[in-house]
Amino acid sequence: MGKVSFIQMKIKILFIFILFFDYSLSYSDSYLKASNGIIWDKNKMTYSAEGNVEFENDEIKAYANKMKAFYNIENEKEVFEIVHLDTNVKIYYNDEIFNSNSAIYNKAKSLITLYGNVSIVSPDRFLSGDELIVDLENSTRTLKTVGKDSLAEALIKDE
Amino acid sequence: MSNILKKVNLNLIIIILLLSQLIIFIFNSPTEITTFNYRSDSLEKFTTMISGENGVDIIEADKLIKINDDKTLLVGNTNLKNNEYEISSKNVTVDSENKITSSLDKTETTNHQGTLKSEGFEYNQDTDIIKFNGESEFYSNED
Repeated sequence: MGKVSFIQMKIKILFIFILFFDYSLSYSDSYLKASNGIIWDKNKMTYSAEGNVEFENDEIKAYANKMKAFYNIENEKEVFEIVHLDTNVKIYYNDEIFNSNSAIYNKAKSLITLYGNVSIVSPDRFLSGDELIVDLENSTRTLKTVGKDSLAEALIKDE
Repeated sequence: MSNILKKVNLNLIIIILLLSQLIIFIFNSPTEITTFNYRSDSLEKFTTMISGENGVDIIEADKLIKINDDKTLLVGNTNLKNNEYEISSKNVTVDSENKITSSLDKTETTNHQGTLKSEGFEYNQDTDIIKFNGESEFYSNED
C-alpha cells in the first residue's frame, strides 16, 4: 500500500516537472542591447536603439549602429515583427554571416533583405553585391548586383 | 554733601552705562533681514494613485520632496506602475511644467514583452515616449 502511494507521488512530481518544463519551452527569448540607449514609443509600437546595437532571437544574431524594431500585440504580449538595422550591419545565421549597410528582418516571413555593400561569408564561399534577399524558411539566397544578373542559390538542408 | 554727590555720580554712571547699552543694542541690530522662501514639503514612504487616460498610475517612493510648484523629487527607491509597465528606479524628478519624469540612476522596466535595464530614463508625458539612457539591455519573452 505504502509502495503504491510512493509511486503515485513520484508520478505527480514528474507530471509537475513536465508541466513547468513545457511552459518554459513555450517562450523563446529575444535580446536587445544598445550602448547609447533604447527609446520605447508606445504609440508607434517601436523600440529604437543606438550605439553598438546587438539583437538576438531564436533565428538570428545581428549587430548594427542603429536599430528600430516594430512589435505587435498578440495575446496581451508584445512580439517583434520587423527589425530595421542600419549602418555596419552584421547578421549571423547558422554558419553564415551577412554584411551590409542596412537590412530589414521580417520575423513573420522569416525573411532578411540587405541593402548596400552586401556580402555573404560562410566556410565555403564569399559572395558580394548590392542587395541580398535571404529566405530563412525556404533556405534560398538571392543576390543582386547593379549591371549584373541576379544570382540565386538554394541551400540543401541536411536531413 | 560728599555722600550726595557720590550717589548722584553713581546714578549718572549707571544711566550713562544703560544708555550706552541701549545705543549699542540699537546700532548693532541687523539692518538686513534675510528671508528664506524654502518650502520643505516632504513625505516619507509616499504612495499615490493617479487616474489617467491609460488607467491608474501608482507611484511609490521612499520620500517625496516638493521643490517648487513645478518640480517634485522622489528620493530613494521609486516605483512607477500602471497597466502597461512598471518602472523601478531611484531619485526620480517629476517636472510637471514640462511633463517629464526622469532619473539618472539605474532603472529596471517591466512591460508586457519583457524586462529592460538601463542607466536612467526619461518619460515624456506629451509624446508618451520613454527614453532609456546609457547602456541598455532588453530581454523579451515572446510566444
